[in-house]
Amino acid sequence: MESPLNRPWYFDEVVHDDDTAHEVTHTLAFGAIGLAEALAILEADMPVVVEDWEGRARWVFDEEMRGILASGHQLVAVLQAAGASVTATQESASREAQLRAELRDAYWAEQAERAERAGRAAVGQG
Amino acid sequence: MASARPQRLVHLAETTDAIADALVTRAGWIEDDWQAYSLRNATEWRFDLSDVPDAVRAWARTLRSIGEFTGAVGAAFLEADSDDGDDVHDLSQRRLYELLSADLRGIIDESRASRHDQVDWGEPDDPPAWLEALQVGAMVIGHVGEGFDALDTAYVIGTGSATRWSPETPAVLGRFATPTAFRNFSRLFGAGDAALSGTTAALTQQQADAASLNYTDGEIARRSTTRGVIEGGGALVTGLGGWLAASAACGPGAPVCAVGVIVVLGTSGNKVVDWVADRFIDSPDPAEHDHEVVEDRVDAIAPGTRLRDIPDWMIDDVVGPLENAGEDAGAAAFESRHPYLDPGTLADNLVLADDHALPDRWVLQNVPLQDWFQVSTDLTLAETP
Repeated sequence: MESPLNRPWYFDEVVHDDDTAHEVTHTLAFGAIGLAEALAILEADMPVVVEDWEGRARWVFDEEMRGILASGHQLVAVLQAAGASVTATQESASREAQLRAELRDAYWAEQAERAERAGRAAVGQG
Repeated sequence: MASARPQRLVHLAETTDAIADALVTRAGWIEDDWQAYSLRNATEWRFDLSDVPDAVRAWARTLRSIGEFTGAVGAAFLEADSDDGDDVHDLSQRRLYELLSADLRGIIDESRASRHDQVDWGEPDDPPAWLEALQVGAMVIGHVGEGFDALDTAYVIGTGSATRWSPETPAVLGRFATPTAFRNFSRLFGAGDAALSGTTAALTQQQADAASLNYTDGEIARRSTTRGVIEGGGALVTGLGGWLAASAACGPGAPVCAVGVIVVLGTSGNKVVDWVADRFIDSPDPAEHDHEVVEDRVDAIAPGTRLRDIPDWMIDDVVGPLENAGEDAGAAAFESRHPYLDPGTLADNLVLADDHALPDRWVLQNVPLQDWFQVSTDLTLAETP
């Protein structure tokens, strides 16, 4: 007996939204650009700032700043990778939704055909 | 003994503060978009980036902290001697310690950093190899998912002591339109030409202002126009004055005298023009940037920015490759989830259609005719005794 509970897997809806995915991808990409701009500013300033700076405070600064710049570059890469991952997930979901829609259409067409055949058979028997 | 140019340390603190403010705003935008995205995309159909805003905030916090530390050290030097902050100030380590707060003294005491940890930060126009390697590293990591060339965003601008890395050159000037190149051009095609002199001066002013991150676009345009008009007009007046003076003092038939007068008057005239221009146009200190201009640079593209307001290179070099890479990865993920959808695979093993509850009608529509012919031949052969 046909019921919503025993319908095939492609009746499960793919809940996804192109617009919000697109928006967050762009925000992440522009975030990566903004952070890269920030790193460029800092790296350009660094030789000017440390000129003639000597002493223990300078050593602490150098040790910390080098790590901060390195992690900043990694964060740029993370933002880009996150943006690409959102697009990848969206593309995957979009294809999945399209496939399921096609399968559902074929399923309903098949059900209608079966019902019609059964009706004709019933009329024939009658 | 400790030494520094304290005003520059204070300027760095201001710059890191501006960058941190901008990044906190950026983190907020990512968080807002993440919330909207997570509400409209089911858990299994979205990429979890909930940690990303906090990662950006954490980095901004760390940057602000090192800036505060640096600024406090600069302020301590200035407290001991407030004379010209851009000059080198010397101070004993003990005195510097006394002028720092207990917290900052603790940071220095706890650090194991030594003289060997001092980093070569290179020259403004010649970054050290390790820093370039960092950028290449980011590039390589970036290529894993997309294709962003980090080196594209920073390149050298200016000349001599004014040389800086700049994240952006006005596109209209071309990527390699440095003031030096333009100056060489003007020398080649007419030394002393007033128009070229004014244009070169305006261009130099514009690039220096843009690189200094102290002025808005409108201010940059006004300052470069002022510089161009003063220098161009000055060159015209100096040239005319030299010619008139040479005519009056030397008379015809005394070329050496005429050249001498023109050169002497031209040189001193240019100095006067430069002096006049400098009176009208102030210059920022080394490493000094305007807070709002730095923030705008980092937050240049806000959510809702119209496409036509976004520079082409951002779309072509960053967003486009990133989306293309994402689409390719998404297509591959879909195909690996449904390997049985391949028509050849289905035709080879029709049981797969039943296993995945595919409607017969869909299978008939999607497996090409020649594959069905192969299926029926195989079935016929299998059924033949």
